[in-house]
Amino acid sequence: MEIPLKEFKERFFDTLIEIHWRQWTALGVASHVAPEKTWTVDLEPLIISTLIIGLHDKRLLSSSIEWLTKNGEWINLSRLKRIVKVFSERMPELKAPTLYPEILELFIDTYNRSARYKIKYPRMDSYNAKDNVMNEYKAFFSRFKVRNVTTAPKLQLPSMIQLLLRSIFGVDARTEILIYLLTHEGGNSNSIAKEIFYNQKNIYTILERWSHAQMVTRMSDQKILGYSLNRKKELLLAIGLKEMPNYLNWTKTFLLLDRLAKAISIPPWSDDEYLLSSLFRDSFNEGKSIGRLLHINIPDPTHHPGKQFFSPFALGVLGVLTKLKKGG
Amino acid sequence: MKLIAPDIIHDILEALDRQIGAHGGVPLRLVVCGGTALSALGLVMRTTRDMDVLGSVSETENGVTIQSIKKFPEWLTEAAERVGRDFDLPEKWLNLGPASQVESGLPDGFEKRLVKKVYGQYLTIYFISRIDQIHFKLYASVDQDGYHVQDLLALKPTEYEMEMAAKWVVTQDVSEVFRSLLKDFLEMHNYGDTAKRI
Repeated sequence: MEIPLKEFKERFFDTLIEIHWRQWTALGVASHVAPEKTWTVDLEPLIISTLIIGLHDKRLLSSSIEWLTKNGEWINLSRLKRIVKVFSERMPELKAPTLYPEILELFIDTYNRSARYKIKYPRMDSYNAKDNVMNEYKAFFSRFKVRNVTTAPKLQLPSMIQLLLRSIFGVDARTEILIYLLTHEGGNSNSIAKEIFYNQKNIYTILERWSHAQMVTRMSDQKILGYSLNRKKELLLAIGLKEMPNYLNWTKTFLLLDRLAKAISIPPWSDDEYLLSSLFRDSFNEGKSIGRLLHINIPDPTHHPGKQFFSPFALGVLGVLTKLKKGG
Repeated sequence: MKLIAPDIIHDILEALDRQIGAHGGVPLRLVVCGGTALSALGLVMRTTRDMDVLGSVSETENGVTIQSIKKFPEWLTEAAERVGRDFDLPEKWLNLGPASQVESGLPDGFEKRLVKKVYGQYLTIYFISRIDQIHFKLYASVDQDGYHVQDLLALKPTEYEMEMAAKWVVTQDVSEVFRSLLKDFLEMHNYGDTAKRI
C-alpha cells in the first residue's frame, strides 16, 4: 500500500496536533476535542513538543502558553532542562536540532512577562535558527495575549496522574519514579533515570528511602540492584484511581514525532520521498520500539531499498499516531 | 549486502543526486566506466559490486575535458555512504579504482564518445562508450581472467575494433611479456589476424 507524500504530511500534522490538543484539554485548555483519558500526560515533554510544532496551530501554542503562565507551579524545571537538552541535540542529517534554543528563550521571556511563577533559565548556545522560522516565532510571541481560555487541571482524570502525584509529593522526581514503578515490574536507578530524565543518584537515594519505608522491595536476584513497588492496587485506590492509565515514554515518542515533523517541513527533505525515506531509516529503531508498545508493525528498512521505504514507514507512523489519538 | 543490478542504477544515481544536495554539495560531472556503464547503456546487462569513477568532466564551448580526481570531496563521500546504506550496497560502492587511467592515457577521441546522462540538479554522469569499453576490457582481460573477458566478448568487437583496442593497449604496457600475453589472448579468442598485426 502506498501513501502520497502530500497526504502523509496532512494526516501526520492533523493527528499529531490533535494528540497535543487532547493532552492540553485534559490539563484545562478550552478546546474542541475530548480530553485525553487513556494515556498518561507528561507535562515537560508536552511543553517542548508544543513549542516545536506550535507554528502549525498557533491557537494550540497560544492556549498552552496561557495555561503555563497560570499553572507554572506544576512545571518541574530541572526535568524540563534535562529534556530540553535531548531535544536540542543536533540531528546530523538535518544539521539542526529538533528544538532551537532560541525558541525556548522566546517562550521563557514571554512566559516570565505574564506568569506568577517565574522561570530562571540559563542562556543556551545558539544554533543560528533559520531567519524565516525565527521571524515567525518572534511575531507569534510578540503578539501573545492572555485570552482566558484555560482553567486549572482536571486532576480527577486518570491521565492526570502525574499532576495528581505532584500535588501529593510535590514537584520532584518522586512522582515520575512512582509512575514508572506503577507501570513496570520494577527497575534499577539507572534504567529509571534514563526513562524519566532525572539524575541517577537522586533516584537511587529516593528508592533506598522507600525501601527502608517498605514502600518498595529490593529485587536482589538481578545483577544491578532493582526495586519493585509494593501494594500497587492500594496505592492507586488511595489516590482515587481504579487502574493506571496507559503509560508511554512521551519524551521519546514526541522526540521521534517532532523529528519527523521537522524533516517533513524542511526542504529538500520535505518534498522528496527518497530523502525522507533515508531519514526514516535513521529513526527506524525508535519507531520500532514505540510501534512494538502500541502493537503497530514498523517494517524493516532492509526489505525496502531507496525510496520504497517511504510508504511502509509513513503508514506505520500514521498507525502509531492513530493509536495515540484513539487510546490504547 | 546487495550488488548493483541494472534495474536500480538509475534509482541509485538519482538518490546520489538528492543526497549531494542534502549534504551541501555542488553540481558534479563524473566519468563512469566498468560494469555500471555497461548496464546503464544497455551494452551488457549484469550486476556489479561498485561504480568505477574515472574522473571528473569540465564542459566548455570547446568540448569536454577529463580531469583526474585524487579523492572525493567529503560531501560526496557522505552522500555516497548514505545512498549505500539506503540501497544496502557494498562498502565503497562509489570509488576511484580506475582513476589513475586518466594520467596513463585514454584512447583517442575518448571524450567525444562519452554518453551524458543527467540525474537531477547536481549529478551528471558521462558513461564511457562501447568502443572505449572494448579498449579497457581488452587491457584488463590480458592479465586477468573472469568477468572482464566475459564483458569483452559480450560486447562482440569486430576485428577492426579489436585491432584499435589492441593498438592502444600496447601503449599502456610496453613490455614484451605483455605484448606476448596480448597476442596469445587474441589468438585464443579468435582474433588471430589482429594478433598478427600488432
